[in-house]
Amino acid sequence: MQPELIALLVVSLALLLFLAVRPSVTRGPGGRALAFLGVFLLPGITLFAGFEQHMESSKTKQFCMTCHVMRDYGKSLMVDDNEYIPAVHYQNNYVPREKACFTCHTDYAMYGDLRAKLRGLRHLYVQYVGTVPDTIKLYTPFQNRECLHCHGESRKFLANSGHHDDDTTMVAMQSGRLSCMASGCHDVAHDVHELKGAPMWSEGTK
Amino acid sequence: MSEFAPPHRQVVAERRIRIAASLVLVGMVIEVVSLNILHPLSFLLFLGVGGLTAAVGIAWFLLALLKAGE
Repeated sequence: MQPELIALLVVSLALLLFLAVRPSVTRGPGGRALAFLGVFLLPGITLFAGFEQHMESSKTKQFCMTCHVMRDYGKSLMVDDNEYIPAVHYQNNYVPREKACFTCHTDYAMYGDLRAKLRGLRHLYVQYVGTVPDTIKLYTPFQNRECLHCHGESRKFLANSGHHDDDTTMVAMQSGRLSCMASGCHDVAHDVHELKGAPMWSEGTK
Repeated sequence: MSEFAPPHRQVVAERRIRIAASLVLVGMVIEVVSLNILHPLSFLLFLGVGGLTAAVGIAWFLLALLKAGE
């Protein structure tokens, strides 16, 4: 938790406790201003800050791994194979390790974060009320937009002639007509059923 | 609510503020608890229980202000 939020919570709680125990302080104008601050303004700000904190926490890999069904997907980031897409991204810091899942699995479009979080609520419903499927699939095919958000202007991407072999390739990729993965150029990510017995990398080693 | 207001009116207004402050306090405590648990359900606890309780408390406080002005 951020120190600013802790301070805000402590001040809010102290003020609320004081007002709950001694509401008679609100008889004077100073007391009424204190009540406005303690019961309306500070709690409002604190709730908003708490919401933001929850949103940030929900973007972490640790958060995603709290659901049992996600554990194998987390393990797939540790595969010792420099061709395996999720592992290459995670182990080489192409994505921030702390937010590895969210970085690729959000929509880089307007309200994309919100849409991703609403999907998360649906996952919660399925986890606790519905039936979790044996094989987890994406709702829609993985969008090139999410890959190109980082790779689109990168030197390595631009240097690969396959991405620019004719005028139409890049346009087709950007429009989504030519998929990065489904068209056979790059392997499908997270094929967790194929990973049993695969050698694993451990953080901090070569 | 001034110091010349009838005592009964003051008592009622102060009771409303006490209830409002208590509700918001409970909401804030739930927020503290939920923020210390990294789990999807803690978000629901925050929003569905803590947020709702605090929102009711804030609404109660605003209602108390309106009633005090009558």
